[in-house]
Parts: sequence; C-alpha cells; structure tokens
Amino acid sequence: MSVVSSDLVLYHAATQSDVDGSTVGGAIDTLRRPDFTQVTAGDTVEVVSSSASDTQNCTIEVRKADGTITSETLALTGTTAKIFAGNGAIDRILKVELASVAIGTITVRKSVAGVTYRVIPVGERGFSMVMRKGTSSTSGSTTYYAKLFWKNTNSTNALLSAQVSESADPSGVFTHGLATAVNDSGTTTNRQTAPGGVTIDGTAKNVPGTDLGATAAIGLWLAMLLATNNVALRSTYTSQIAGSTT
Amino acid sequence: MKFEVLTTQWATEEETFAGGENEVTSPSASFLKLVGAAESAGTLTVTECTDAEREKLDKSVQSQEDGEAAYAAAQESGEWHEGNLLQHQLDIESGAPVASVGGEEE
Repeated sequence: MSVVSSDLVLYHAATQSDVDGSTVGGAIDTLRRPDFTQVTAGDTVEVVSSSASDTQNCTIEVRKADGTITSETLALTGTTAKIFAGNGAIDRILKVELASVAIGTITVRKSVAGVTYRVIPVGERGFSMVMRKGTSSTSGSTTYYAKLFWKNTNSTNALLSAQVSESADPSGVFTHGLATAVNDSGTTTNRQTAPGGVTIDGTAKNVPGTDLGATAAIGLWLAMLLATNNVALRSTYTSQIAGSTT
Repeated sequence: MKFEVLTTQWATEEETFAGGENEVTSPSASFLKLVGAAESAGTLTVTECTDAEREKLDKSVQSQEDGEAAYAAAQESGEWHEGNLLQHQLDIESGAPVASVGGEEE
C-alpha cells in the first residue's frame, strides 16, 4: 500500500529537554508525541477513553495565566470523562502522560465534551510540548535544542526522495537539522549544546540515504533562539516531511 | 515518605501539595500509585521512602520496554491506526498543512 500522509508521524526522542544539565536526544520514543492543539486560555481539561479498561493514572502538567506551572495526577475512569479540575483554568498544556499505554483510543479535550486537543492512539502514552520550559536570559541570547523524529509507519513502502522542511514558524525563533543517518540514537550533552555533526539552519533537508524506508525514522533536531529578555512566547512551529511513493 | 514537588503545586483527587518538599506518613497503595505516575511524568521526585514503598512506586508505572511491546502489538492488530487516523482527520479539519505524498492537497 502506498505511503499516505497519516503514515508520517512525528515523535519525541527518548530524552526531552525540560531542564539544564541533562543529556538530550537519543533514540525515538514511539510512545510520546510532540504535536497537539493548544488550549484556549482559560480552558479546563478532561480525558476520556473509548475503552472502559483505561483506568490508569494520568498526569497533566500545565502553565497558568500567571506563569506558574502546576500539575495533577488522577485515575482515569474509562468511557466516563475525567475532569482535571485541580489545575483549574489553564493557559496551556505542557505535558499529558499516562502511567501505562492507552488500551482504548484516549481523547484529551476541553471540558465539558469540547474541542479535542489530541487523541492518544492505542499503545501510546501521551504528548508534550517541545521546548516547554525554556527561559530567556538577562545577559545574552540563549539557544535550546530538542530532538524529534519523523517516522514512516508504513510497514511496506518507503517515502521516496524524502525531504524535511520548515512549514511555519510564526515567532521566528526556530531552525532545524537532520541526523546524519536514519534510526539514530545521537544525543547532545545538554539542551544548550548543539548536537555534533548536524547542520542546523532554515533550509530544507534531504533525508540521508534519499528515502525514508518502511518503519524507518529520521532524527529532527530543533533549535530555538531566544534573545536577551525575550518576551514570553505562546507559539507554534510546524515541520513538514514530503516525498513520493509507489 | 518524602517527595519534592517540582511544580508550583501538584494536585490529586483528595489533596493538593505545594511545590517543594512534602511528607506523607503511611501512604496508601492508591496514593503510592499516584506518586509513582507523577514521578514518572517528571512532576515530582521521591526523596525518601522505604524499600517496600519504592517497589510499589516502580510497579505503578509501565516500563518503556513493555510500552513499546504494546505499541508494536497495537500497530500489528490495527488498533493503533484508529486513533492515529482520528488525530490525522482532526489535523486536517483544523487547517494543518497536510498534503498527500503525491503532492495534491487533501
């Protein structure tokens, strides 16, 4: 079967960049995704599953309008929506993490029964923002690095002549680069150190080896440059992978 | 058991804990599961507990290896695709720049 756009899925790398001083990157983490629809400021979140068996604990970490970061852990209640009221009205979701993989299809949405922020497919554990806890400095610019993966989940066909490009960067702070080989597990020392051997800029990048094979994934490094005393950003970034198929 | 909440506050159904160090004496099994999940999510760090409590904390969260095995099984069975396609449809409806790999707009 030909590669279709839903086969091309963006995932986090094993180690995300929440804090300074820790290694960032690694191999693909197919249980967690970086893309979702952000809340409208003031929303309250609820979580519901298509399966009554989804009763595992779920932790949601959020940023409030006043800039504080709060979190809440509750046991899900299967097909009955669980409202995360402890976080109250929120400004943005930072992370949604299940204690075990989804058994049914889990929907994270505005309460009550409102717009969907993200669907967590069966077998996955959650989603979170990239660069969710980066701050600017009073004494110079700051660059943060994070690693994602574009995965071709098609089990038989490659995405031919695959190329990754920056589709949208409204805040103008991001650049990108690709790992030097598919299915890599490269890391960088910490979130403020550029990964070695990766060219990071704004140009479109061809996937090493030309094609992104069936079930293969290519590491995507993002850099976020914050100016001195950068204003708070509530923004998005859109990466795009394109190619042809048989 | 002592734990450090790494956010301004951490809430459960019954109680809200302030950021910084907190102590709970004789935590229940269900509370240990909540703490284990929150620790795995990176929202708190357990700083002091008994070996028995540590064992329960660790057992309350699925290992990455077991999760990846479940992911692979869900892809094989087709269950994963339902949610993946549902999300993809939502992306299209929200105006995300999704094009077919043939180059035609969907």
